[in-house]
Amino acid sequence: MSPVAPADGDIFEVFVQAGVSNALTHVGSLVTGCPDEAWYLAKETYCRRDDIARLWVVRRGDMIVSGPEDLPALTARTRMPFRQAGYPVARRRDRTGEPVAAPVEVGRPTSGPPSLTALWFALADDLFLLGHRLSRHVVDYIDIEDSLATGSISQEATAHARRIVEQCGLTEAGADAHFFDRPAHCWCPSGVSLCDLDSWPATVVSGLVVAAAVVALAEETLAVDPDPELVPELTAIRTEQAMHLEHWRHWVAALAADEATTAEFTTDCRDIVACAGDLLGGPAMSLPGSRLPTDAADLASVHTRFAALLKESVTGELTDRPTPRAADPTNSPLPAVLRRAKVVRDRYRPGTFL
Amino acid sequence: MTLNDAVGGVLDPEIDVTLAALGVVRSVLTERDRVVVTLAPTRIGCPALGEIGRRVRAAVHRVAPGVAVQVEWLRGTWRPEDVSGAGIRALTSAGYRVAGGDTSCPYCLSDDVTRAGRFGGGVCRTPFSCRSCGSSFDLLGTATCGLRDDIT
Repeated sequence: MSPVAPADGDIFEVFVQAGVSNALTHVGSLVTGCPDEAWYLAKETYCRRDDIARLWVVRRGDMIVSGPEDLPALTARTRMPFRQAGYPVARRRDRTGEPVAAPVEVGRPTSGPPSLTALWFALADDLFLLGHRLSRHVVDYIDIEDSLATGSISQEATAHARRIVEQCGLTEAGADAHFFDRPAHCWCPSGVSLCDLDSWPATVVSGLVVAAAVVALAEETLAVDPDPELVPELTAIRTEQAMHLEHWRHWVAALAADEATTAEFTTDCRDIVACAGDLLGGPAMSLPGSRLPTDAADLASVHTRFAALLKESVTGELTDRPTPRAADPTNSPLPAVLRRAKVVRDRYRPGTFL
Repeated sequence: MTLNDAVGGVLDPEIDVTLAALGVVRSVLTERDRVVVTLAPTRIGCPALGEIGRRVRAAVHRVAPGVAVQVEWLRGTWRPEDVSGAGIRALTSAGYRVAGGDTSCPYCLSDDVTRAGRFGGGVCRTPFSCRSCGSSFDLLGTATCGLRDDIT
Protein backbone atom coordinates (compact mmCIF):
# COMPACT_ATOMS: atom_id res chain seq x y z
CA MET A 1 0.00 0.00 0.00
CA SER A 2 1.46 3.39 -0.96
CA PRO A 3 1.59 6.21 1.64
CA VAL A 4 -1.43 8.49 1.69
CA ALA A 5 -1.25 12.10 2.88
CA PRO A 6 -3.71 12.45 5.76
CA ALA A 7 -6.59 14.91 5.35
CA ASP A 8 -6.50 17.97 7.65
CA GLY A 9 -9.57 16.68 9.44
CA ASP A 10 -7.65 13.59 10.52
CA ILE A 11 -4.69 15.42 12.08
CA PHE A 12 -4.84 16.29 15.78
CA GLU A 13 -2.37 18.47 17.69
CA VAL A 14 -1.58 17.31 21.22
CA PHE A 15 -0.87 19.59 24.18
CA VAL A 16 0.33 18.17 27.49
CA GLN A 17 1.02 19.65 30.89
CA ALA A 18 3.26 17.29 32.83
CA GLY A 19 2.95 18.05 36.54
CA VAL A 20 1.26 21.15 37.99
CA SER A 21 4.29 23.43 37.84
CA ASN A 22 5.02 23.06 34.13
CA ALA A 23 3.40 24.95 31.25
CA LEU A 24 1.00 23.37 28.81
CA THR A 25 3.23 22.41 25.89
CA HIS A 26 2.69 21.28 22.34
CA VAL A 27 4.21 17.80 22.23
CA GLY A 28 3.34 16.60 18.73
CA SER A 29 0.49 15.50 16.51
CA LEU A 30 -1.23 12.30 15.57
CA VAL A 31 -3.44 10.99 12.79
CA THR A 32 -6.67 9.17 13.35
CA GLY A 33 -9.72 8.73 11.24
CA CYS A 34 -11.79 8.46 14.40
CA PRO A 35 -12.06 11.77 16.33
CA ASP A 36 -13.59 10.11 19.39
CA GLU A 37 -10.41 8.07 19.76
CA ALA A 38 -7.97 11.01 19.41
CA TRP A 39 -7.74 11.87 23.11
CA TYR A 40 -7.21 8.23 24.14
CA LEU A 41 -4.66 7.72 21.38
CA ALA A 42 -2.80 10.84 22.57
CA LYS A 43 -2.80 9.55 26.13
CA GLU A 44 -1.28 6.25 25.01
CA THR A 45 1.20 7.96 22.68
CA TYR A 46 2.45 10.93 24.73
CA CYS A 47 1.47 10.38 28.37
CA ARG A 48 2.83 7.05 29.44
CA ARG A 49 5.75 8.20 31.59
CA ASP A 50 4.73 11.26 33.60
CA ASP A 51 1.89 12.31 35.85
CA ILE A 52 -0.17 14.49 33.57
CA ALA A 53 -2.08 17.51 34.84
CA ARG A 54 -3.75 18.40 31.53
CA LEU A 55 -4.10 16.75 28.14
CA TRP A 56 -5.64 18.74 25.27
CA VAL A 57 -6.26 17.49 21.78
CA VAL A 58 -7.26 19.91 19.00
CA ARG A 59 -8.19 19.16 15.41
CA ARG A 60 -5.63 20.98 13.25
CA GLY A 61 -8.33 22.23 10.88
CA ASP A 62 -9.96 24.06 13.82
CA MET A 63 -6.82 26.02 14.74
CA ILE A 64 -5.91 29.49 13.53
CA VAL A 65 -2.21 29.30 12.79
CA SER A 66 0.45 31.52 11.28
CA GLY A 67 2.15 30.62 8.03
CA PRO A 68 5.41 31.77 6.46
CA GLU A 69 3.57 34.69 4.82
CA ASP A 70 2.70 36.04 8.29
CA LEU A 71 6.32 36.38 9.40
CA PRO A 72 6.65 40.06 8.41
CA ALA A 73 3.64 40.89 10.59
CA LEU A 74 5.21 38.99 13.49
CA THR A 75 8.62 40.61 13.24
CA ALA A 76 9.23 43.04 16.08
CA ARG A 77 10.54 45.86 13.93
CA THR A 78 7.96 48.41 15.08
CA ARG A 79 8.35 47.71 18.75
CA MET A 80 10.91 50.27 19.81
CA PRO A 81 14.19 48.46 19.19
CA PHE A 82 16.07 50.88 21.44
CA ARG A 83 13.99 49.72 24.38
CA GLN A 84 14.77 46.07 23.85
CA ALA A 85 17.31 44.19 25.93
CA GLY A 86 20.72 44.17 24.34
CA TYR A 87 20.08 47.22 22.18
CA PRO A 88 22.51 49.52 23.99
CA VAL A 89 25.43 47.18 23.57
CA ALA A 90 24.53 46.07 20.07
CA ARG A 91 23.56 49.33 18.44
CA ARG A 92 24.93 52.29 20.27
CA ARG A 93 27.83 54.05 18.74
CA ASP A 94 31.22 52.95 19.97
CA ARG A 95 33.46 55.99 20.19
CA THR A 96 36.45 54.22 21.68
CA GLY A 97 38.75 55.58 18.99
CA GLU A 98 37.47 59.14 19.06
CA PRO A 99 39.54 61.83 20.75
CA VAL A 100 38.62 62.56 24.35
CA ALA A 101 37.42 66.13 24.76
CA ALA A 102 38.89 68.29 27.50
CA PRO A 103 35.74 69.27 29.36
CA VAL A 104 37.03 72.03 31.63
CA GLU A 105 39.03 73.86 28.98
CA VAL A 106 36.00 75.11 27.05
CA GLY A 107 35.04 78.22 28.94
CA ARG A 108 37.25 80.67 30.78
CA PRO A 109 35.90 82.69 33.73
CA THR A 110 36.01 86.41 33.01
CA SER A 111 35.22 89.52 34.99
CA GLY A 112 32.28 91.82 34.41
CA PRO A 113 28.63 90.92 33.84
CA PRO A 114 27.84 87.52 32.30
CA SER A 115 26.66 87.16 28.69
CA LEU A 116 23.46 85.33 27.72
CA THR A 117 25.75 82.52 26.57
CA ALA A 118 27.27 82.28 30.05
CA LEU A 119 23.80 82.21 31.66
CA TRP A 120 22.71 79.41 29.30
CA PHE A 121 25.92 77.49 29.93
CA ALA A 122 25.37 77.57 33.70
CA LEU A 123 21.65 76.78 33.44
CA ALA A 124 22.45 73.67 31.37
CA ASP A 125 24.01 72.17 34.53
CA ASP A 126 20.72 72.58 36.37
CA LEU A 127 18.73 71.10 33.48
CA PHE A 128 21.02 68.09 33.43
CA LEU A 129 20.81 67.63 37.22
CA LEU A 130 17.01 68.01 37.11
CA GLY A 131 16.76 65.41 34.33
CA HIS A 132 18.83 63.01 36.38
CA ARG A 133 16.87 63.77 39.57
CA LEU A 134 13.53 63.15 37.84
CA SER A 135 14.71 59.86 36.38
CA ARG A 136 14.50 58.42 39.90
CA HIS A 137 10.77 59.06 39.91
CA VAL A 138 9.98 57.54 36.50
CA VAL A 139 9.37 54.19 38.16
CA ASP A 140 6.81 55.58 40.64
CA TYR A 141 4.01 53.74 38.91
CA ILE A 142 1.30 55.00 41.23
CA ASP A 143 -0.14 57.02 38.38
CA ILE A 144 0.86 56.10 34.84
CA GLU A 145 0.18 59.62 33.55
CA ASP A 146 2.61 61.11 36.02
CA SER A 147 5.16 58.46 35.30
CA LEU A 148 4.97 59.34 31.59
CA ALA A 149 5.14 63.06 32.35
CA THR A 150 8.15 62.65 34.64
CA GLY A 151 9.91 60.50 32.05
CA SER A 152 9.20 62.94 29.23
CA ILE A 153 10.32 65.96 31.23
CA SER A 154 13.44 64.15 32.40
CA GLN A 155 14.28 63.17 28.82
CA GLU A 156 13.68 66.64 27.46
CA ALA A 157 15.57 68.40 30.27
CA THR A 158 18.62 66.26 29.54
CA ALA A 159 18.29 66.75 25.76
CA HIS A 160 17.94 70.52 26.20
CA ALA A 161 20.99 70.59 28.49
CA ARG A 162 23.03 68.82 25.84
CA ARG A 163 21.83 71.06 23.00
CA ILE A 164 22.52 74.20 25.03
CA VAL A 165 26.15 73.32 25.70
CA GLU A 166 26.54 72.27 22.05
CA GLN A 167 25.24 75.69 21.00
CA CYS A 168 27.74 77.18 23.46
CA GLY A 169 30.49 75.64 21.34
CA LEU A 170 31.02 72.10 22.64
CA THR A 171 31.17 69.14 20.28
CA GLU A 172 28.88 66.13 20.80
CA ALA A 173 31.66 64.25 22.57
CA GLY A 174 32.63 67.42 24.44
CA ALA A 175 29.07 67.82 25.71
CA ASP A 176 29.09 64.25 26.96
CA ALA A 177 32.42 64.75 28.73
CA HIS A 178 31.17 68.07 30.12
CA PHE A 179 28.36 66.32 31.98
CA PHE A 180 29.83 62.93 32.74
CA ASP A 181 33.57 63.42 33.16
CA ARG A 182 33.82 66.89 34.74
CA PRO A 183 34.93 66.63 38.38
CA ALA A 184 32.45 67.90 40.99
CA HIS A 185 34.65 70.86 42.02
CA CYS A 186 34.40 72.27 38.49
CA TRP A 187 30.60 72.38 38.60
CA CYS A 188 28.70 75.49 39.57
CA PRO A 189 25.05 74.46 39.93
CA SER A 190 22.24 76.54 41.40
CA GLY A 191 21.29 75.93 45.03
CA VAL A 192 17.96 74.71 43.63
CA SER A 193 19.61 71.67 42.08
CA LEU A 194 20.88 70.47 45.46
CA CYS A 195 17.84 71.22 47.66
CA ASP A 196 16.38 68.22 49.51
CA LEU A 197 16.84 65.73 46.69
CA ASP A 198 14.69 63.03 48.28
CA SER A 199 11.48 64.96 48.75
CA TRP A 200 8.84 64.92 46.01
CA PRO A 201 7.41 68.37 46.86
CA ALA A 202 10.95 69.80 46.68
CA THR A 203 11.46 68.07 43.33
CA VAL A 204 8.20 69.59 42.04
CA VAL A 205 9.24 73.12 43.05
CA SER A 206 12.75 72.60 41.64
CA GLY A 207 11.25 71.40 38.35
CA LEU A 208 9.01 74.45 38.25
CA VAL A 209 11.70 77.05 38.95
CA VAL A 210 14.16 75.47 36.49
CA ALA A 211 11.49 75.39 33.74
CA ALA A 212 10.57 79.01 34.51
CA ALA A 213 14.24 80.06 34.34
CA VAL A 214 14.69 78.36 30.95
CA VAL A 215 11.50 79.96 29.58
CA ALA A 216 12.59 83.39 30.84
CA LEU A 217 16.10 83.04 29.39
CA ALA A 218 14.77 81.73 26.05
CA GLU A 219 12.33 84.63 25.76
CA GLU A 220 15.06 87.12 26.62
CA THR A 221 17.40 85.54 24.04
CA LEU A 222 14.72 85.52 21.34
CA ALA A 223 14.05 89.19 22.12
CA VAL A 224 17.64 90.28 21.42
CA ASP A 225 17.70 89.04 17.82
CA PRO A 226 19.86 85.93 17.98
CA ASP A 227 21.38 84.13 14.98
CA PRO A 228 18.27 83.36 12.83
CA GLU A 229 19.34 79.73 12.52
CA LEU A 230 18.98 79.35 16.30
CA VAL A 231 15.41 80.64 16.41
CA PRO A 232 13.52 77.37 15.64
CA GLU A 233 15.47 75.43 18.25
CA LEU A 234 15.26 78.15 20.90
CA THR A 235 11.54 78.45 20.22
CA ALA A 236 11.10 74.69 20.57
CA ILE A 237 13.05 74.68 23.85
CA ARG A 238 10.95 77.57 25.16
CA THR A 239 7.67 75.88 24.20
CA GLU A 240 8.64 72.48 25.55
CA GLN A 241 9.80 74.01 28.84
CA ALA A 242 6.57 76.05 29.02
CA MET A 243 4.73 72.73 28.84
CA HIS A 244 6.87 71.40 31.71
CA LEU A 245 6.13 74.58 33.68
CA GLU A 246 2.42 74.01 33.13
CA HIS A 247 2.74 70.43 34.38
CA TRP A 248 4.53 71.52 37.56
CA ARG A 249 1.93 74.23 38.16
CA HIS A 250 -0.76 71.53 38.34
CA TRP A 251 1.36 69.66 40.89
CA VAL A 252 1.96 72.81 42.91
CA ALA A 253 -1.80 73.46 43.07
CA ALA A 254 -2.45 69.86 44.14
CA LEU A 255 0.24 69.81 46.85
CA ALA A 256 -0.81 73.21 48.20
CA ALA A 257 -4.48 72.21 48.35
CA ASP A 258 -4.00 68.86 50.09
CA GLU A 259 -4.09 69.15 53.88
CA ALA A 260 -1.63 66.29 54.23
CA THR A 261 1.07 67.97 52.15
CA THR A 262 0.46 71.69 52.46
CA ALA A 263 2.74 72.33 55.47
CA GLU A 264 5.77 70.49 54.09
CA PHE A 265 5.14 71.93 50.65
CA THR A 266 4.93 75.53 51.86
CA THR A 267 8.28 75.18 53.64
CA ASP A 268 9.95 73.56 50.61
CA CYS A 269 8.50 76.20 48.35
CA ARG A 270 9.81 79.06 50.50
CA ASP A 271 13.29 77.54 50.80
CA ILE A 272 13.68 76.74 47.12
CA VAL A 273 12.26 80.00 45.77
CA ALA A 274 14.60 81.83 48.17
CA CYS A 275 17.64 80.27 46.49
CA ALA A 276 16.23 80.31 42.91
CA GLY A 277 17.73 83.75 42.28
CA ASP A 278 21.03 82.12 41.33
CA LEU A 279 19.49 80.08 38.47
CA LEU A 280 20.07 83.13 36.26
CA GLY A 281 23.19 84.15 38.18
CA GLY A 282 25.73 82.00 36.38
CA PRO A 283 29.32 83.27 36.44
CA ALA A 284 30.69 85.45 33.65
CA MET A 285 32.52 83.23 31.22
CA SER A 286 34.11 83.49 27.82
CA LEU A 287 32.89 80.83 25.37
CA PRO A 288 34.42 81.84 22.04
CA GLY A 289 32.74 79.08 20.01
CA SER A 290 29.22 79.94 21.10
CA ARG A 291 26.41 80.67 18.63
CA LEU A 292 24.28 82.15 21.41
CA PRO A 293 24.57 85.92 22.06
CA THR A 294 27.88 86.79 23.72
CA ASP A 295 27.19 90.44 24.61
CA ALA A 296 26.61 91.31 28.26
CA ALA A 297 23.12 90.17 29.28
CA ASP A 298 20.46 92.57 30.51
CA LEU A 299 20.24 90.85 33.90
CA ALA A 300 17.40 93.04 35.15
CA SER A 301 15.27 92.16 32.12
CA VAL A 302 15.90 88.39 32.43
CA HIS A 303 15.19 88.52 36.13
CA THR A 304 11.93 90.42 35.62
CA ARG A 305 10.71 87.78 33.16
CA PHE A 306 11.70 85.02 35.60
CA ALA A 307 10.07 86.71 38.60
CA ALA A 308 6.84 87.23 36.64
CA LEU A 309 6.65 83.53 35.72
CA LEU A 310 7.30 82.49 39.33
CA LYS A 311 4.76 84.92 40.73
CA GLU A 312 2.03 83.27 38.64
CA SER A 313 3.02 79.85 39.92
CA VAL A 314 4.30 79.70 43.49
CA THR A 315 4.44 81.60 46.73
CA GLY A 316 7.81 82.52 48.24
CA GLU A 317 10.18 85.46 48.12
CA LEU A 318 12.51 85.60 45.15
CA THR A 319 15.54 87.86 45.50
CA ASP A 320 15.36 91.29 43.83
CA ARG A 321 18.14 90.52 41.40
CA PRO A 322 20.12 87.45 40.25
CA THR A 323 22.42 86.19 43.00
CA PRO A 324 25.84 84.61 42.37
CA ARG A 325 26.15 80.86 42.56
CA ALA A 326 28.11 79.18 45.36
CA ALA A 327 31.63 78.67 44.08
CA ASP A 328 32.67 75.20 45.20
CA PRO A 329 30.02 72.48 45.51
CA THR A 330 32.46 69.84 46.81
CA ASN A 331 30.86 69.66 50.27
CA SER A 332 27.31 69.32 48.90
CA PRO A 333 25.35 66.31 47.68
CA LEU A 334 26.72 66.99 44.17
CA PRO A 335 29.63 64.48 44.14
CA ALA A 336 27.24 61.69 45.18
CA VAL A 337 24.69 62.77 42.56
CA LEU A 338 27.30 62.78 39.80
CA ARG A 339 28.57 59.34 40.87
CA ARG A 340 25.01 57.99 40.65
CA ALA A 341 24.52 59.56 37.23
CA LYS A 342 27.56 57.64 36.00
CA VAL A 343 26.62 54.27 37.46
CA VAL A 344 24.61 53.04 34.50
CA ARG A 345 27.47 53.83 32.13
CA ASP A 346 29.86 51.69 34.14
CA ARG A 347 28.01 48.59 33.00
CA TYR A 348 29.03 49.08 29.40
CA ARG A 349 32.50 48.52 28.04
CA PRO A 350 34.67 51.63 28.22
CA GLY A 351 34.09 54.07 25.41
CA THR A 352 30.50 53.05 24.73
CA PHE A 353 28.53 56.22 25.01
CA LEU A 354 25.03 56.39 26.38
CA MET B 1 17.51 53.83 -6.85
CA THR B 2 18.42 57.45 -6.20
CA LEU B 3 19.90 58.67 -2.94
CA ASN B 4 16.71 60.64 -2.30
CA ASP B 5 14.56 57.53 -2.61
CA ALA B 6 16.95 55.51 -0.45
CA VAL B 7 16.93 58.05 2.39
CA GLY B 8 13.22 58.84 2.02
CA GLY B 9 12.38 55.13 2.18
CA VAL B 10 14.08 54.59 5.55
CA LEU B 11 11.54 53.44 8.13
CA ASP B 12 11.01 55.19 11.43
CA PRO B 13 12.27 52.94 14.26
CA GLU B 14 8.95 52.92 16.10
CA ILE B 15 6.18 53.17 13.53
CA ASP B 16 5.93 51.61 10.06
CA VAL B 17 6.16 54.91 8.20
CA THR B 18 8.97 56.19 6.02
CA LEU B 19 11.01 59.26 6.96
CA ALA B 20 9.84 60.93 3.72
CA ALA B 21 6.17 60.36 4.59
CA LEU B 22 6.81 61.60 8.11
CA GLY B 23 8.20 64.84 6.69
CA VAL B 24 11.54 64.35 8.42
CA VAL B 25 13.78 64.45 5.31
CA ARG B 26 14.74 68.02 4.39
CA SER B 27 17.48 67.48 1.81
CA VAL B 28 19.94 64.94 0.45
CA LEU B 29 22.89 66.67 -1.22
CA THR B 30 26.04 65.29 -2.78
CA GLU B 31 29.00 67.53 -2.00
CA ARG B 32 32.22 66.51 -3.73
CA ASP B 33 33.17 63.32 -1.83
CA ARG B 34 30.34 63.08 0.67
CA VAL B 35 26.57 62.99 1.07
CA VAL B 36 24.94 65.47 3.44
CA VAL B 37 21.52 64.40 4.68
CA THR B 38 19.51 67.07 6.49
CA LEU B 39 16.72 65.83 8.73
CA ALA B 40 14.20 67.53 11.03
CA PRO B 41 13.53 65.51 14.21
CA THR B 42 9.98 65.67 15.57
CA ARG B 43 11.33 66.61 19.00
CA ILE B 44 14.63 67.83 20.42
CA GLY B 45 14.52 65.06 23.03
CA CYS B 46 13.76 62.26 20.54
CA PRO B 47 15.66 59.16 21.71
CA ALA B 48 15.68 57.59 18.25
CA LEU B 49 18.03 60.07 16.54
CA GLY B 50 20.98 57.70 16.82
CA GLU B 51 19.06 54.81 15.28
CA ILE B 52 17.58 56.98 12.53
CA GLY B 53 21.07 58.27 11.69
CA ARG B 54 22.37 54.71 11.56
CA ARG B 55 19.57 53.64 9.22
CA VAL B 56 20.11 56.66 6.98
CA ARG B 57 23.84 55.94 6.71
CA ALA B 58 23.10 52.30 5.91
CA ALA B 59 20.55 53.31 3.24
CA VAL B 60 23.01 55.69 1.58
CA HIS B 61 25.69 53.00 1.63
CA ARG B 62 23.39 50.54 -0.14
CA VAL B 63 23.20 52.97 -3.07
CA ALA B 64 26.69 54.44 -2.84
CA PRO B 65 28.97 52.03 -0.96
CA GLY B 66 31.80 53.59 0.99
CA VAL B 67 30.76 57.22 0.59
CA ALA B 68 31.09 59.53 3.62
CA VAL B 69 27.68 60.42 5.07
CA GLN B 70 27.03 63.46 7.21
CA VAL B 71 23.67 63.61 8.98
CA GLU B 72 22.58 67.12 10.02
CA TRP B 73 19.61 67.72 12.33
CA LEU B 74 17.46 70.83 11.97
CA ARG B 75 16.00 70.88 15.46
CA GLY B 76 12.78 72.71 16.14
CA THR B 77 11.74 72.93 12.47
CA TRP B 78 9.48 69.88 12.09
CA ARG B 79 5.75 70.61 11.98
CA PRO B 80 2.79 68.20 11.84
CA GLU B 81 1.89 69.74 8.45
CA ASP B 82 5.10 68.18 7.10
CA VAL B 83 3.52 64.71 7.27
CA SER B 84 2.43 63.70 3.75
CA GLY B 85 -0.92 62.13 2.78
CA ALA B 86 0.76 58.73 2.59
CA GLY B 87 2.25 59.41 6.02
CA ILE B 88 -1.14 60.18 7.50
CA ARG B 89 -2.55 56.95 6.04
CA ALA B 90 0.36 54.89 7.36
CA LEU B 91 0.10 56.50 10.80
CA THR B 92 -3.66 56.00 10.92
CA SER B 93 -3.31 52.30 10.19
CA ALA B 94 -0.74 52.09 13.01
CA GLY B 95 -3.15 53.77 15.42
CA TYR B 96 -1.85 57.36 15.33
CA ARG B 97 -3.40 60.70 14.49
CA VAL B 98 -1.45 63.81 13.55
CA ALA B 99 -1.89 67.11 15.39
CA GLY B 100 -3.80 69.75 13.49
CA GLY B 101 -5.70 67.21 11.36
CA ASP B 102 -8.47 64.69 11.89
CA THR B 103 -8.54 63.79 15.60
CA SER B 104 -11.22 61.10 15.42
CA CYS B 105 -10.43 57.63 16.75
CA PRO B 106 -8.23 55.88 14.13
CA TYR B 107 -9.94 52.57 14.93
CA CYS B 108 -13.67 53.37 14.93
CA LEU B 109 -13.63 56.94 13.53
CA SER B 110 -15.72 58.22 16.43
CA ASP B 111 -15.24 61.88 17.36
CA ASP B 112 -15.98 61.11 21.00
CA VAL B 113 -12.35 61.13 22.09
CA THR B 114 -10.68 62.57 25.17
CA ARG B 115 -7.09 63.51 25.92
CA ALA B 116 -5.67 61.07 28.46
CA GLY B 117 -2.79 63.28 29.64
CA ARG B 118 -0.25 65.84 28.48
CA PHE B 119 2.64 63.43 28.06
CA GLY B 120 2.61 60.14 26.19
CA GLY B 121 4.89 57.13 25.96
CA GLY B 122 7.22 59.18 23.76
CA VAL B 123 8.02 62.90 23.81
CA CYS B 124 6.40 63.37 20.37
CA ARG B 125 3.07 61.88 21.40
CA THR B 126 0.00 62.89 23.36
CA PRO B 127 -2.21 60.07 24.60
CA PHE B 128 -5.90 60.00 23.73
CA SER B 129 -8.63 57.52 24.44
CA CYS B 130 -11.82 56.86 22.51
CA ARG B 131 -15.00 56.83 24.55
CA SER B 132 -16.86 55.02 21.82
CA CYS B 133 -14.74 51.88 21.31
CA GLY B 134 -12.38 52.23 24.31
CA SER B 135 -9.20 52.22 22.23
CA SER B 136 -6.15 54.23 23.22
CA PHE B 137 -4.33 56.09 20.49
CA ASP B 138 -1.61 58.72 20.24
CA LEU B 139 -1.62 62.12 18.64
CA LEU B 140 1.71 62.81 16.96
CA GLY B 141 2.82 66.41 17.37
CA THR B 142 5.02 68.80 19.29
CA ALA B 143 4.48 71.24 22.11
CA THR B 144 4.63 73.95 19.45
CA CYS B 145 1.36 72.69 17.97
CA GLY B 146 -0.66 74.54 20.60
CA LEU B 147 -2.11 71.25 21.82
CA ARG B 148 -2.77 72.66 25.24
CA ASP B 149 -5.01 75.34 23.84
CA ASP B 150 -7.13 73.66 21.23
CA ILE B 151 -7.80 70.37 22.99
CA THR B 152 -8.65 70.08 26.65
